[in-house]
Amino acid sequence: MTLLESRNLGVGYRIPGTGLFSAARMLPIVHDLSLTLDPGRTLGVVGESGCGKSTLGRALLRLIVPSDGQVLWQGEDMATIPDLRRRRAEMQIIFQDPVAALDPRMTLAKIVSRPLATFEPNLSRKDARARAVQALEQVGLSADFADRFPHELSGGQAQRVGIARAIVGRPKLIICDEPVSALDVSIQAQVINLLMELQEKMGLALVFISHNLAVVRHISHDVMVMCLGRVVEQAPRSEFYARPLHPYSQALMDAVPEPDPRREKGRVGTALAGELPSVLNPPPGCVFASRCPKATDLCRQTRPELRTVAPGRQAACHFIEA
Amino acid sequence: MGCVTPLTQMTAEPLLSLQDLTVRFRLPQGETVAVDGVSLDLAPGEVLGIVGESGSGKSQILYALMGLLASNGRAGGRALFQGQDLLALTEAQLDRVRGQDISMIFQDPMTSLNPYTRVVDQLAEGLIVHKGLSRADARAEGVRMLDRVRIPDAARRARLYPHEFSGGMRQRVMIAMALLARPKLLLADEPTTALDVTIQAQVLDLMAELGRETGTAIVLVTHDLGVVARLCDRVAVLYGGRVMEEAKAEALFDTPSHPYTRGLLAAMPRLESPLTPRLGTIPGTPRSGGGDLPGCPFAARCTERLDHCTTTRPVLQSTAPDRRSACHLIEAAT
Ligand SMILES: Nc1ncnc2c1ncn2[C@@H]1O[C@H](COP(=O)(O)OP(=O)(O)OP(=O)(O)O)[C@@H](O)[C@H]1O
Ligand SMILES: Nc1ncnc2c1ncn2[C@@H]1O[C@H](COP(=O)(O)OP(=O)(O)OP(=O)(O)O)[C@@H](O)[C@H]1O
Ligand code: SF4
Ligand SMILES: [Mg+2]
Ligand SMILES: [Mg+2]
Repeated sequence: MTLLESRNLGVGYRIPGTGLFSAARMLPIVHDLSLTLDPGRTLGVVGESGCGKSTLGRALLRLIVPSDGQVLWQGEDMATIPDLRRRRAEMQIIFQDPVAALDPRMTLAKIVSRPLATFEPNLSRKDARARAVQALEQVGLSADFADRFPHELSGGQAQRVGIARAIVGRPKLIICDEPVSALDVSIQAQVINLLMELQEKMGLALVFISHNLAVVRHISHDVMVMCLGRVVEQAPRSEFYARPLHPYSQALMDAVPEPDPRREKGRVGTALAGELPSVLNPPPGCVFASRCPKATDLCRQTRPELRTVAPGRQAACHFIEA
Repeated sequence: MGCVTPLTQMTAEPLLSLQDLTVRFRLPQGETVAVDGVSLDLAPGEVLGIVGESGSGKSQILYALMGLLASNGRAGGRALFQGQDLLALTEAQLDRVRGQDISMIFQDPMTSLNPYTRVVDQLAEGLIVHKGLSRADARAEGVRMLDRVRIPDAARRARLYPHEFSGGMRQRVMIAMALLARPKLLLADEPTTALDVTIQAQVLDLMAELGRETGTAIVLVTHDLGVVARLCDRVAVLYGGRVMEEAKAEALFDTPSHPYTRGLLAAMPRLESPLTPRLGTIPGTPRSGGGDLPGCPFAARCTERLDHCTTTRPVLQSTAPDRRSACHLIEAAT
């Protein structure tokens, strides 16, 4: 059965009105977003900075109440799940801002063992601590970190505490919001391998938000590309990386910097000149039109719908022939 | 791209010279050594990359320079900036240096931006205090810089508070703030981790461009070896609080001389590498700080280890012009 599903999800933030007497209004961020995730699968989410990935991640767990559409957890509408607080223990999130996400007054052992209180309330204190220490070790933090406080950590160590906290209770789903951005490639690999192992052993499902296209390629079964709150491309991993279809996806692939100074320093001009679209003033046509090398008047005036362009592949662009 | 000031042409006086810099922390469990005798020079206008394992002391080097170590931390050695030891300055002297000559982009933007102040006013503040601009001019400058770091609709957005920004937008606010000061030295700690690669490329270019315009030297801490390749003239590789290797960027990627550097490059996932069930790592667990160590900090994980690696500390020494490495293998070979 599908573990997590969103149907035409819309999410926004309430912002104060601009004038003295104007009422607060809703600033829409995520539009009409549908996805499904089965147990044991990983959906990679990439996209522009500020396009709404973190907003989506939080809305999928109903940490933000959606303004439109539905999120279903194992087929049940999350809005009406009676005991959502307790059920939420099955769905964890690794927040993007690692330091801000950790309670500064608690030791790492306490922070990491906390989810166990709802998951396994009968666990003794000693066993809970042992589980926390084990989770810390799994992310490369030795036992002597257990009694440290968050401000005594490096950026990458704090990020790993967030990961340890997410895996300790053996959840069914983890929303990973830039989970490895502060890790060196070796520890990053260790964490990715750990998540993949948990997935194989326990059917863990992952929503993996990241700017690192190589890591997303490695861990994901499917990939979703977002631009200004909308899905512009969705595809199985191998097809996507073999041939990204949307112009934005193609620009992303081209811009990945490689560990080769001669090549990188020789790059002339940067990808994607042109204005970035703003949520405060969204364009009427395609969200990518202001920067797209292929854009025409049609693109600037009419928004391309997300449509099936090849078996299992969807894209939102007027000019894709599959 | 980056500003090329080859080591060989370095003027007699580097802009920044770290001499045996150490950072130690007191903890109830005992003392830990976060930075363990780091010596590095930086020429005016040069871009130095610092890479290394998570927890190897990269951020603490920058904090020590800025006089911002946590209260349980203590710096030793010397950090000469234009000949003046930053570690010996009074708080008032440091304040002046921090406002005018040295700026820092912090690794963790949310905890270093003021949550209660509009972004535009945070940008303007430094310009008003240190450059004597009027409030209106300072705000206008701030908005212009937000625009240059690719914040869409900058003028309207500038009136918002940091929590209303996405992770990558906050990062760009930090970058804008640092660049506005037009410092002589920019310390950038993982400045682009929350940016997608197209915007990252633009922001890195902007940093390089402003570096060229104002002769700003940059210390760039990053885990992204692609970013190093794009921006850095020279690279230092850290492990366990010590410099393992230092070289020109081209040389480092062409012929990494230290086993840890080789491990890092091999572990980097690439778009075209074949998909394997597991990503390659460097085996073993990183050293978690702790007391002084007699041998090489990487010895426990090194596949090329010699007998005396665990007992004798390899010295960082010159192996070629413009190159230094701390490894017994290299000592054995020469
Ligand atoms: N609390 C808030 N109030 C108003 N607007 C917000 C709030 N939080 C986020 N936003 C806006 O919502 C949009 C999407 O933000 P979000 O954090 O979801 O982006 P993101 O895709 O995660 O970006 P990044 O890759 O930079 O982390 C941005 O335009 C941001 O400014
Ligand atoms: N206040 C503190 N008390 C004790 N130890 C600390 C404190 N702050 C940092 N440390 C330790 O110092 C070491 C170096 O930290 P630093 O922040 O410089 O690492 P880093 O190289 O920047 O790592 P990352 O890439 O993960 O950000 C780490 O092992 C960290 O746990
Ligand atoms: S619809 Fe037009 S502007 Fe949008 S991506 Fe396709 S070609 Fe580019
Ligand atoms: Mg985000
Ligand atoms: Mg750091």
